[in-house]
Amino acid sequence: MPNPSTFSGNPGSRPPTSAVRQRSRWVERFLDGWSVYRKNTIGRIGLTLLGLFGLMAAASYIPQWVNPIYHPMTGVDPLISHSTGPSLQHWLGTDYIGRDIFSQLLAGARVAFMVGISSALISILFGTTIGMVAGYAGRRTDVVLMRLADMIMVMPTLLVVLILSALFGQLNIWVIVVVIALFRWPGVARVIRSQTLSLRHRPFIEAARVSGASHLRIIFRHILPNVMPLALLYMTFRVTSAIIIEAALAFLGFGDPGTVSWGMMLQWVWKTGHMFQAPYWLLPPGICISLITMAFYMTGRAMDDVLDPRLRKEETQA
Amino acid sequence: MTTALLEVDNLSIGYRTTTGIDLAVDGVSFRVDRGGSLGLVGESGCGKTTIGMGLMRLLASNARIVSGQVRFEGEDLTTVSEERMREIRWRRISMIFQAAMNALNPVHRVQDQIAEAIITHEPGLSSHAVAHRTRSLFELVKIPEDRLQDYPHQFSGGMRQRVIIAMALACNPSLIIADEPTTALDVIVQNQILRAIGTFQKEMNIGMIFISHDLAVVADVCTHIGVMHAGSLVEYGLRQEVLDCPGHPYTQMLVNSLLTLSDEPADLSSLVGPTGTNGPAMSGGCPVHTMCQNATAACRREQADWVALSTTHRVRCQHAGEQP
Amino acid sequence: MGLKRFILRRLVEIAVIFFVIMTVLFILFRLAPGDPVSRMVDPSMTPEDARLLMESMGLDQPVWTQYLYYLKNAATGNMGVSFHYGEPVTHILLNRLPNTMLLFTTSIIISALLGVFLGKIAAWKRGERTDTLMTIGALFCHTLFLPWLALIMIWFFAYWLGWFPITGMVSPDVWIDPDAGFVVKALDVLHHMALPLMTLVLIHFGSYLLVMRSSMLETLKDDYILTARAKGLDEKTIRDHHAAPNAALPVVTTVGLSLAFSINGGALTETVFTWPGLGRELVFAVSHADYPLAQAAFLLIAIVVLLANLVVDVLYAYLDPRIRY
Repeated sequence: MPNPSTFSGNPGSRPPTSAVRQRSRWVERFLDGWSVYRKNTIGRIGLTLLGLFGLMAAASYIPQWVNPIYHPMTGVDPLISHSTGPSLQHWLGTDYIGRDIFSQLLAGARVAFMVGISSALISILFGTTIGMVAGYAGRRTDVVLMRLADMIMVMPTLLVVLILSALFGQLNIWVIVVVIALFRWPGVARVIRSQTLSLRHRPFIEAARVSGASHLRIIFRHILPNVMPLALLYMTFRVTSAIIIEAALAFLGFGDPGTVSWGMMLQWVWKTGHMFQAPYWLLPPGICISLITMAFYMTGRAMDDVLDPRLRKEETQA
Repeated sequence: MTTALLEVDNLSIGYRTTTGIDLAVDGVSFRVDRGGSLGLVGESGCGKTTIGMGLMRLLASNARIVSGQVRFEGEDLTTVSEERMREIRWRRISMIFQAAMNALNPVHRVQDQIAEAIITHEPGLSSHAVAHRTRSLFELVKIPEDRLQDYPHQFSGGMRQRVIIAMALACNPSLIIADEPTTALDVIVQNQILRAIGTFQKEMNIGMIFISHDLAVVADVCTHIGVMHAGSLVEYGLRQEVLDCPGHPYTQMLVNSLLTLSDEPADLSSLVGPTGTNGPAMSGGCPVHTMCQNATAACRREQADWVALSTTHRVRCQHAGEQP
Repeated sequence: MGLKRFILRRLVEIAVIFFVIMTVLFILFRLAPGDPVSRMVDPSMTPEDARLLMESMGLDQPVWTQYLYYLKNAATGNMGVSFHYGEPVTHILLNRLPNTMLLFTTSIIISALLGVFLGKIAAWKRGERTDTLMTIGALFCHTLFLPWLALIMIWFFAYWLGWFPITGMVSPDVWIDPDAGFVVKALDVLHHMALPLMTLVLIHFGSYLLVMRSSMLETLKDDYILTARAKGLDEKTIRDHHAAPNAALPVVTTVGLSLAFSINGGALTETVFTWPGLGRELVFAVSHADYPLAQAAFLLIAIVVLLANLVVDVLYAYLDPRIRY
């Protein structure tokens, strides 16, 4: 086995290195990408917005700690029992039973991140695995899996969750997260599959196969690290669609009644007939949903710009 | 001497780069007569395609004509307005492109694409007249009439090239610029196309500039031959002169690489050293001095002036005319 | 391959997918907690009616036979009786279908046309202010939350400005009026449709614009554009006649890919604007535990989406001669 350190150093053509080397290679690639990302204006704006929302999510625990009347779900101000406008006590006013809107907004940020990221993670896990298997195994497995992906892609996710909710009653937030993930993986799978297809015939894969590596080992040790950046990129898009679907569900009244999400807030405005008189209640949740969507999209686009030339560079080096 | 159809005088075309302007074409002069044809030969990157684009003023946005004149039918094409240029394009000068490329629009029928050229430049014609001319053009290039309604992807490479030729002839131009028209075709088809082009040209008395990297192809159909390298014209003369007595070492190499069935194995001994630099002209020195056996210090220092080997044959070499 | 054979093959595929969906639904219905029978038969029905209904739907039979009854009934259009309306479900839904088609189709067509038109201009004026404005505008609209936008539209245009009605598809007095002619009624519907249509178009045109723009930028590198220039054609002709038709093809593909997304949006829009369509009926049925109605509405929407996919594919084949011949 040739000594790795004497191998002509191109990232793509190096043989499997030890774990330590691999870790430092990852760090180096990440820092590399970060320096390019930093220069991208869109990426910077996106990340800033995300940071803002992250702060909101973290801060969501504060209001009820300060004073129980600020609890988003159960906090009732003894002095107010209807919707009022912004005041010193309630920065964004109160909803129809006197709960503080601002703390609801903060809680919504927390829910958005939770729903978005967990749903996206599950989607990616599923989609990447299926994509890699389909791309690697080829022929019939590939055809079957892609057919399945096509069928699922055609289904309108929102309506599917609606039907499930009809049958199984009010759905728990985690069930919603999982179901959304189960219907959004085809998009990722397709992309990962084509990437795997192009990687399958690279020399280093051939080398691994010749040296007796099992298929599983090849998939997870060699192909996965190379498709990972692409998977992470697509994760940002999955996050946005998960957030939007959950918000739409909550808006229609089928969300988890125990969670305060921005969609839920909009449902309350709408259903209690306050939409014309309470802009302080109507506007913030909608603006937040749109901004967080834009933030994730911008981050994704910037990542795309970073990864694209690098992917191409790796192609020519390997 | 009859007035030339096209006279190119010291034309230079350059590309804007971060460091200034790189010349892709450096001080090129030649003429084309009515009914005559000039073959521009050279390796890829020597600037011959750029000349073709430059004559039509179809250069990329980062390229421009730096100096020189292009006298065509009494006008200087380097200075006419864009509107006038659009009128001249296709009506007086048309182009034949490589058929392998997407030269034809995939979503329009070929008949419509040819008709479009006619209608743009002769708006007064009735649709009947346009259809008639399209049909006769197809007859001319020997494509069956029932293929008029087809789309480009339904034609084979050779047939597509015929369509492109028919389209180029549509407005009865005085000059045709053919840029590698046979490169993507197999040999038999190549021959047919060359025959066809030669026939039209003579029958319709059209002037022609035939751009190719293949001297064999050019040697077949052209009356004059111009050899280019690294942006400069290094030899120019009548076909027979250039082929029989190539004055420039580079031309000699090209001629010697011509393989014919009857000859003895080609003499490739004159190919010496690396194939030299290509692309935009480098400053100083003869562009082929790295390849040439007889290169001297003078060659490395500066490019030679033109040396006339005959009234119609000139060469740009310090040692032209000297016997090896 | 021939267009007819292509359509036939796709119809078979659609039938298979639909069959799978139906089967999955059947299984889910049986898996869900509670009594499956009470799910199809309104508990408030009289016992005789209930028994008749149960027999016609095979609910007193073993599971496998029930499945066959289920399939047979679906084929004949007997999907049960709505709890809420007390009428056969098929009847209600077929009444709603044209309303959804009207809104859905119109919104997609207008969004696509708008996206193509603006995207074409944005690409042509690449890098200039027009381009930046359009791209940002498209992105902005694309990230708006649909129900929220709908509420804002109602608030602004219907409540504040009073230009459009707040809810519904028709004004009751116009609809009932025996003297009102077709034109009057049509105009009334259009008046009601304006806001939901605007909302849908605003949300969707953005992605079409962006796709058209990048597609145009790619197309402009193609060789036939050079040929068109060499022919002496003017810039506008080259852009509209040569580049745009080729660049628009990926937009058609995008429309197809985003149909599921569009239907989600359609359901939300119908609900907020109280537009009596399939989407709204589904939401209504689910929130009132009207199972027969919910199931049938879902299946009907599924068919609509599948057929819409087919229409888009056929359209693409029609527009791109390389596929047709």
